[in-house]
Amino acid sequence: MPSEKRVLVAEEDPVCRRFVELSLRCGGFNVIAGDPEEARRALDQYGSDAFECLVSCYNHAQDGGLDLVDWVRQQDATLATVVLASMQDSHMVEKSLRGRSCDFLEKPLSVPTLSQAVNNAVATTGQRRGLSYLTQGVQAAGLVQKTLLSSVLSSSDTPIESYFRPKQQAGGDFLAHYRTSGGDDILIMTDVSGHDLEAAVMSAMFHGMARGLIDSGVTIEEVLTRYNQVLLTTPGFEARPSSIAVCCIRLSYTSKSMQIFLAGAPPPRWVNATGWLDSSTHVFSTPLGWFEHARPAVLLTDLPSTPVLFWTDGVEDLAGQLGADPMSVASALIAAGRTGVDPDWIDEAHDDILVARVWAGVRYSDTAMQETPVVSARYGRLQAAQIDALQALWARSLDLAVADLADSMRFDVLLCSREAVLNAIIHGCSETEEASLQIDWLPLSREIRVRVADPGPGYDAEAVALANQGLEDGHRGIILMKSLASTIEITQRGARVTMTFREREETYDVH
Amino acid sequence: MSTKNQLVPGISTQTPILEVGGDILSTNVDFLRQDLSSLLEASKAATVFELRLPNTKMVDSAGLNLLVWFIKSVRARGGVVRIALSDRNVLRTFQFTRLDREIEIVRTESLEPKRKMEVH
Repeated sequence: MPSEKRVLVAEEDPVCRRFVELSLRCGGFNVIAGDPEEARRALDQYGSDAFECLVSCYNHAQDGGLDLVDWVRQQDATLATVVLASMQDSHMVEKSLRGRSCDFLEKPLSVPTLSQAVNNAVATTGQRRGLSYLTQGVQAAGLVQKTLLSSVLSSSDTPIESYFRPKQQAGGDFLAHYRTSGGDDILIMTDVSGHDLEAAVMSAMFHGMARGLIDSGVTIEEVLTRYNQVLLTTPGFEARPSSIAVCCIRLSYTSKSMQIFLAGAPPPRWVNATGWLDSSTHVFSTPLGWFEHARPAVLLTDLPSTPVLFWTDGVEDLAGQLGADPMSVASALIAAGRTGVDPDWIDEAHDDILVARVWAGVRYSDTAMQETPVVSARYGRLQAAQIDALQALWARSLDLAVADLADSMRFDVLLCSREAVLNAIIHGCSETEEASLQIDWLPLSREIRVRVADPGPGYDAEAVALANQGLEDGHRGIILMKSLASTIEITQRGARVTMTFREREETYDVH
Repeated sequence: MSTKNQLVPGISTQTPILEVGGDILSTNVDFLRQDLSSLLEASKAATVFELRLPNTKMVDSAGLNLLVWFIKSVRARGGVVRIALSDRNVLRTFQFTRLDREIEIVRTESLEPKRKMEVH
């Protein structure tokens, strides 16, 4: 009875060809045999996927056997080949075949040896084709994810920018947008543990359930609580535990408020009315799927007048690897999402990457010109000794977020930030207090703004104003800042310093 | 963090030269102060002191204060300080704080090979 194991034999010598054909038929294989040219025609006619193995005989006079092997590899890398060669040709053929064929047999052949080799090749073909099918399936799933994400974001009349890059073809990060009947915008960003096809399926399941419940009028908090129960109580899930980190933002234009629901995700960031970056970094929450008693953290704040930036923890991890502030990484990725050009450092990411910026209740302008904080941090006195490392982080953040930053401007920003932060934490903070630093990139004017604030009482600004130069003692930090910054504003007796920097023409004279 | 500063054979015993290993910042001024103090102690007869800054990319206010202390110390014995540097940002720093009026600045592209020398 013919087997499903279909073998194509390519052999120039008709006697040998007949021997191989009959030997394989006796072994239960379904065989088509011909010379190399006939074999090639058979592949063209039936397609390479009609066969599970190619047996090709090497003929040193014509090299037809190896040519066919190479041709098949190019057409269908999953089809395993077995090459037969005479003893006199065996060394050369074996060497040239390294990596090109599944097996190599030396003539004269024994039927059991031939049969075993072809059986192994058939099994290899099966494995390769299974893997190829799976890979194509994952790629297709990834394409669906990207298409869905683009569709969701582009169909919204609330401007949403994003950058999405799964670690593999499909991942566990996703962003969905809903508009309620009352006109509120709801954005749900999720990060399922793992970054594979399973994570993508879990992500789809969550978003499907969430959409259904929200459309039915269930509150977001209840949606998250219910899904937590799903993860913890569904039979079978305990063997393969999964968790989901969620950041949900509800923007209400009627009440001019923003509600944030967090379950283990990094909090969103936005610039508040004072110009400082606001976030809820002090709020802690656990992902869904960890604990029964866990509830999402809920925050209510005024609707911001600036865009809201949020991301999955892959961005935080990447920022740590790059030695930069997450704001600079997120900002650079939003720009990359706009241009469609991946930054070269994105390959260093170990996790899925998803970042989004939503312009809610904000007059939508040229997003590329939006002012963006690239560093936002708080430091205490104990960090004075680490100022070199902090400065390196600011430098790296600037390099990521600002393209073509002039060297002199970069130097000015770093030196003045160093001076201002050291002043603030040494002279303006007690043992337990902290100073704030924020570095903003203003692309419209190509300026950088540095703000430092401390809780201290300030200093005698008049004495500092009189401080000179040369060999007089003290206040060189202030003098440096006043000299290097394009503008400087010192308020609250020095407890607040705001400096701007713009590119300058560089002319230097050596006296 | 040490600057790994190195003494260089001077043109004469009256021109001790110290090559500074890197940036002059709040986090390493103490080490450089030790080296400069040793230099002053070992070179009582010197009238010109040269500091070479081939790898210095930044001098903060603490670094400037240290240089001012060194300049004053050298002046107290009737000497002068010469600084050889190759970074334009460092030069700007000296210019903006008018330190360039108190010392001789030599702008260099490259410096002579350095050799270690014991301080006696």
